Amino acid sequence: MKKQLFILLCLGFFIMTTQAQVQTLKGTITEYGEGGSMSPVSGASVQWLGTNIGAFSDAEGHFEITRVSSFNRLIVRYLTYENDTIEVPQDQETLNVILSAANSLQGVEISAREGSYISIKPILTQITTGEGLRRAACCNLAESFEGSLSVDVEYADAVSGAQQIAMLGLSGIYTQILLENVPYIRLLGNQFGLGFVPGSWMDAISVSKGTSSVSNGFEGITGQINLDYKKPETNKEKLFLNLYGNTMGSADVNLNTRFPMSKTKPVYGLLLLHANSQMVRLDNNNDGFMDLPLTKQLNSMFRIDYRYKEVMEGRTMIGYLIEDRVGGQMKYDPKQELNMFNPYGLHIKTNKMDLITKNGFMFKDHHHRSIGTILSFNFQDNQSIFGMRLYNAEQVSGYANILYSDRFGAKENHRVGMGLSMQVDYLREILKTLQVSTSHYFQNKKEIVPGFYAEYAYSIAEKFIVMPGFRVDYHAYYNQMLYTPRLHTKWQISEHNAVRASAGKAYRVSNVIAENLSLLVSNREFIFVEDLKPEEAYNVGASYVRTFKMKGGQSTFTVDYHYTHFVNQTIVDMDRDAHNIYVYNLNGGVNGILNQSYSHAFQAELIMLPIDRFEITLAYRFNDVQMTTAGQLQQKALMSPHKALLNLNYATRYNKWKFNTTLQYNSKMRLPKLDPALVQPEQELPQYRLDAQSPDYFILNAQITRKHKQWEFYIGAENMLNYKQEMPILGYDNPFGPQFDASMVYAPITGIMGYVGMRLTLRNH
Amino acid sequence: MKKLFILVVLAAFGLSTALYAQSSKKQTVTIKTNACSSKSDEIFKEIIPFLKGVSSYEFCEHSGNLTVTYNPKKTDEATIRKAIAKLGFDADDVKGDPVARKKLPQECLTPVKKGSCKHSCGEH
Repeated sequence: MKKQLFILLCLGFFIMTTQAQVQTLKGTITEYGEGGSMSPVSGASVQWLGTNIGAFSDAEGHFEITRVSSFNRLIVRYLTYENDTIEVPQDQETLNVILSAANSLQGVEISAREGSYISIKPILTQITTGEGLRRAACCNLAESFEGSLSVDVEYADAVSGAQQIAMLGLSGIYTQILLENVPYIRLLGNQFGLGFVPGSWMDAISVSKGTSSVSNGFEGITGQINLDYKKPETNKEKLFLNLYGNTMGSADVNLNTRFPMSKTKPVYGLLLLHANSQMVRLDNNNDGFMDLPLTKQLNSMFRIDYRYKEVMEGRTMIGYLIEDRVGGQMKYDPKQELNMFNPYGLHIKTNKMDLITKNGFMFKDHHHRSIGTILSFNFQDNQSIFGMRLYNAEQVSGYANILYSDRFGAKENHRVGMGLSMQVDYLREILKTLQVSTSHYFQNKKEIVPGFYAEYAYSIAEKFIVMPGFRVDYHAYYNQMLYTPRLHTKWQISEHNAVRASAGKAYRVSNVIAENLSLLVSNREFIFVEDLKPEEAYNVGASYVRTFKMKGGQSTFTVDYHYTHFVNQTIVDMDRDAHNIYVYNLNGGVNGILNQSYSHAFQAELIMLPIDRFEITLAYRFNDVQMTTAGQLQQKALMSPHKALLNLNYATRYNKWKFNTTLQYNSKMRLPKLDPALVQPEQELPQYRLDAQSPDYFILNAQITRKHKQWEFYIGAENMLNYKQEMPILGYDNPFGPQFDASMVYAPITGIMGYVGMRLTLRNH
Repeated sequence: MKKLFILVVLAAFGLSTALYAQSSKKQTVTIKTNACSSKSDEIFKEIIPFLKGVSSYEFCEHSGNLTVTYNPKKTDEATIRKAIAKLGFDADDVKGDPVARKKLPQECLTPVKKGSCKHSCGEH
């Protein structure tokens, strides 16, 4: 393809007037911005080929260029896009150009669909936009993955209400979660962090499997999830209000407001507010425990976007969250004295503060050259009670990253990016058990990790992109150098067929208690068998994407496979016996050597648009996750190897009515085994018994949305087939006894749930 | 019990659709506006089809013409023109609201200079 730039001509509006002579050509230049919205491009240049006559587009993307007779070819140039020439007939007066990033490395290609699409990046990335997010009344990040199989949402335990994710069959701690490319949900955030990201704050979610770009750190063994919040610069909602209530006695309120902060300068502010509360104690399964914890959450963020000429632009956000969570037995009162004669309870108080500032500097004469800086500061504090256990933790983190990127070469087909990063974490944890003769756990950890990285991308004739990257970090806590090589390639076989492959290494440092708070909702004891080493893994993957035209729009078929191989993993072993949790290195002194931990993950997904505004998603995924626990290589517990999904979305014209429904199948899962020697006579009772496998089950969700000019009303139901795990809490009748364990959750605890809600949007045009 | 409920809902839905179909003898009107470019259509898309009695519309960005299909029992041409004017656009002889007009993006309105937006839909 000779075209250097993939420009969709908006049909150019051929003017067929009788006027023979036209003096000027006017038009606009737009591009698909982040989140899929169209935004004007300022500073793009247009020039008649073979002449010196040219013009630039203004802030609104407008340009006006004098016509020269017999010169009909217009060159369009802009930053990350490569140049192209457009034929403009002499009698044409207007020209609208949409820049599409088909050949851009960083860019994103968007299809006509609004729900979710696959970006053109060399790393397979699936992006769900705001429209896709509204298909479920997703109150938070965890719930927004229900229309996809790439990310599993797991129930962490039956008491705390925490939701966690898994990718490639491996726990969510192995997935790096970023907010606009800044590491976001980490350390203490792992347990409840997904619940701290309100659904209506998000503009887009990008999910990529396998190792990602080295620029974001050495983490991300299984993949990366990058969140985009609504941005002051591009958001059109002067005011957005969302009210939600469900039949379980939970309510959500969201309020966003966006406003210009300066009359003359491009400075915009956006205030995001969220409150949710579970107000009712519910016990539908009559085990004496609340099915859902009582929660009160207040979450806020204020962010500004600013820009100084064509030289500097930045985004700064500050967020604060406070949450109070009370679970356990129905009669539990958080004010009660801590002893075994009072009801069992869970009480978690969280405070969280984030400050992130990202600033970019451009160079006037070098459109591709830029320096980007990221500074982030995070504070989090947890004070928790789990029955007779007290857990208090405090985290202070700082992160800095400075990235230089440029392009060179005659066709500008070489891109380099390099930078320096620094991550500092201070984590203080105390775990006390108010019981006889049990150990206390105390950790006071300072981690300082400076790093350097470089990435290079080379595109050959628009068909083939190869992107090697490398980073070196020094982990002061372990006094160890971490070397992270990664490679991504993409081969665009033809317009509709693309193959990608990736291989790379990733590391992670575990903080076992903070990442496994759900295991505290049991009377199992943590036993740290040895000092833990950093987790280390290789990941290789490949994918094939085929797009095809259907009546309703571009449809996609994707197949991908990823293999993850752990060199070292922190094993949290629940299989050894029913009363303890053993924590050790995969190939440590205790477990012996030659142990294995790996995951094979395969997924196929077909998204079809057979008619206008009707979208069908069919997906299937298979995970084979094997890990040596209790001295035996076996399938990872509480992970369903087979999952299938059917998702139907239909909207009437102008989106006046929207119908969304999702059916998901979860296959049988292995449940942690109890050591037969430890089975005592009373464990034969049904409330102490655990089968070897969980049953398989279906989940059905549906939603209807009615849109008016400013109001939108939605009604829906989740888990419509009313599937519930019969007995989510083992030993519920004696919560202080040795058999009590609420961490064996494989299915929903609550049954069918209905909800209603409304949204009010006042737009700034 | 559940089945009965579903039946009732379906029946109500069917009935309302039938009633709706019966009462809607639709009319169309073409209104000349000074809107220009797809940016204006982005605004119309969120407002015009949600006006009371309006079922659909077409916008021609070259002529600025809005062709609106509506139910004459529920609304009339004057009301539709007023609604357009409220957004800041001129609608036939109804002048656009000056406050709203100021807030419109520049490209939403016909450039004053001669040139674009003068030929009618369907010709291109």
